[in-house]
Amino acid sequence: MKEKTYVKDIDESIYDFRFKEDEEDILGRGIGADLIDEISKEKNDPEWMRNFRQKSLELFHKQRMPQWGPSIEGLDMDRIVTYIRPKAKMRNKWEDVPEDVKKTFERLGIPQAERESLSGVGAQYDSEIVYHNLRSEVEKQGVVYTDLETAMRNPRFSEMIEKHFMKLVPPTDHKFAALHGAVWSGGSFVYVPEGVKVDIPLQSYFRLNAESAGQFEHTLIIIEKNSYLHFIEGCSAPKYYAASLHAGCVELYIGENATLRYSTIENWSKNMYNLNTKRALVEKGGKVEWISGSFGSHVSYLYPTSVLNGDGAVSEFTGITFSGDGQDLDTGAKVIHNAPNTSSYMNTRSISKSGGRNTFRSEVIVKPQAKGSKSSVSCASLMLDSISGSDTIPVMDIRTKDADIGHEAKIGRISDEAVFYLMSRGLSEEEAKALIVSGFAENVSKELPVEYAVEMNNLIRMEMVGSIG
Amino acid sequence: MNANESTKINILPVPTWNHLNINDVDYVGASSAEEIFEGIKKINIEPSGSNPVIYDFDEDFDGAQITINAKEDSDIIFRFLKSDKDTKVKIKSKINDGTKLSISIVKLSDNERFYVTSDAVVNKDASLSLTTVSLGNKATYLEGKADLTGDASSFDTYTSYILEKDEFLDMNYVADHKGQNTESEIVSAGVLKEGTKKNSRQTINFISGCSGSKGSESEEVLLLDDDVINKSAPLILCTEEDVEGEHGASIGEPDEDTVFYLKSRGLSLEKIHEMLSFAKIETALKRINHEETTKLVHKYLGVEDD
Repeated sequence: MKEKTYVKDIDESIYDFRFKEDEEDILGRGIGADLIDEISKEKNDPEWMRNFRQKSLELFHKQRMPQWGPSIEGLDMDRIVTYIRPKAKMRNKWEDVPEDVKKTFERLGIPQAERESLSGVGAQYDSEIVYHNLRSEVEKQGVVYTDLETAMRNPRFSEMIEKHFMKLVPPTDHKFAALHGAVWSGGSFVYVPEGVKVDIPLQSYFRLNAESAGQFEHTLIIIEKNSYLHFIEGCSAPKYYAASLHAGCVELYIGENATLRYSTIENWSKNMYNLNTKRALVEKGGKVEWISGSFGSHVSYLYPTSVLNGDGAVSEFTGITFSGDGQDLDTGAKVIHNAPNTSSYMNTRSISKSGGRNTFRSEVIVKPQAKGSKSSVSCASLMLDSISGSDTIPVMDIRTKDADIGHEAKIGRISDEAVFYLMSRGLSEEEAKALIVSGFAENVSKELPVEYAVEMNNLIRMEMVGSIG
Repeated sequence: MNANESTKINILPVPTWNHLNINDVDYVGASSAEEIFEGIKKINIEPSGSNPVIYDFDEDFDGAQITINAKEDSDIIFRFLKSDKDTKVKIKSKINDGTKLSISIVKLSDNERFYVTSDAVVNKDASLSLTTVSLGNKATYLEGKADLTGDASSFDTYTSYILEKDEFLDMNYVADHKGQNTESEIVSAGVLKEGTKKNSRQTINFISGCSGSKGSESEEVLLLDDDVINKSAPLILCTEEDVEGEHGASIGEPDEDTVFYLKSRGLSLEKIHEMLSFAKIETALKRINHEETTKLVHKYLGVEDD
């Protein structure tokens, strides 16, 4: 009898710890106009933002839940905590951060990573950023990296933020974009001036500690002509029985001939509904590189979108999704070719096991004016058992003859021939299968800085046993 | 027909984003899929081994509900030649154990709308080969589904088309792999020019228990003008580990090197486009492998036979 290869679940223990939230810090549950007003007051929003939140709330109530994708019936919006008061103001020294919050980030290795391999770090705990710091030499170059609320109140950036905030992802986009517009809190603002190359990455880490809570951080990054930035985003939460919600929003504005690499390692707990929206606008000759690793969440809807708005703009998306017991992860990417000679590449891998479901969903739209554009989509799925599922749902909408569009998809299991070959070279069957799965995930890990690739590989941490042919 | 009513046909097995308008297509004039075929005459076919059997539909033809019970290897060619009316055809096939059924649909009519939907149950060791040549009609809706119930059953389909002068083509092909060691191949190849629009949906569905199955889907679309719209949704759905599924698509202008070579041999760009277009149809004609049908299609296209 053939014994099945067993792949262990991702080890969540390093993320699954919590500190009790004080009830008085919770501003309220559910979504109502009064609560939105309270959030505005609490955050001392400018007038335009108060109005924006209320209009977004109206849109949220008007819009339908998604009619496609995984079920989100288990998400009870009336129970979700939309805003939790911060325990302390934002600091730029870890010593000044409250002890339990600091301990949380220490256990996640953030201060250490900051010392060793980052230009700057932002740390959000529940609803607000609690720590932000940027290396002085980077700051001297004119780079700004702070929380969005601080930037919004800074006369130098207030106008810029009003001009860009939720213009790429308007609240009309979908129900959870509207929700985000109404209750957003925290997140980061990054500004990179013309010609500045930030060689060492910045990282924001989002930690949701409270039970039945929502996190709605907004990340706004504007990089000017000929600049470069690598931004890393990480996220985690302890596991509770009640559902939690992440409806963040990322808006990236990439100037002419600038490059922005946006890397995400998402490891929310398995009770999380991750309904996040990410979008980039790329000007002439600019480039966005999305690196995406999705490991956590109960349900995910995540499709980073690139709008290639300038001649020669480029989008690259590299992603891996690992879905295990109780997970239904619907991930992928969208590209809109809106200008001539634009290029897009998508390269994704998904692994399904123990009843987990993966869906790769994509769209490539080539507008009539995008002459000379090219697009290539490649997705591969690995099924590790027959109680799991893996779907591939790509769509191409091409409206000019002068385009070169390619698409390929593959689905299958670990090849017996490959295992046989590796065994003939001296590996055990377990080692052979582990090597094949690691190789399958390499498209993402090779794109990450070494420290993060190691973290990702630790996350996957596959233990192969048995498998006697 | 009530022009105020419509029903959704050619439904994608799993929906995606609504804004892409690819989840289904509206068929105007009926409130349900059943209503489309109300009052349409029924034809039962039980092929008896004399191949091919040819059914020509002409003049006043407005449609048929065709039931095929294939117990012997059979080759059926449906030719839709001319009609002034909307044409609606529903084909339901049962392919018994060990039987090979080949269905060819050759559409050369110029009326407003043409809708053909084919649904087959393919039993153990049986196979269905479905070939379609789609030429003419302002709006064409094609659907081909195969339920690969039996072990070692198979389904292969090839659809070829040339769209011109604002024509619209909407396709939906689905292979449901249920039996073990089943195989499917879904291919479409065609040409879009002169303001035409085309939607293509291809789905390979590996259902738990279909171990050892293989499926592939592919699409080649030549875009010859700038005012055309091509939409493609090639799906692979999978709840079985031991399967192999793949998809490939190539969409765009004719390959530069090919065009350069043919130009160097003295051909005009117009002639080159015509040749590349006809090549898509020729592949389908070779599969049909019926001389008279080939001549009929060539005549429609204005191609001279040797």
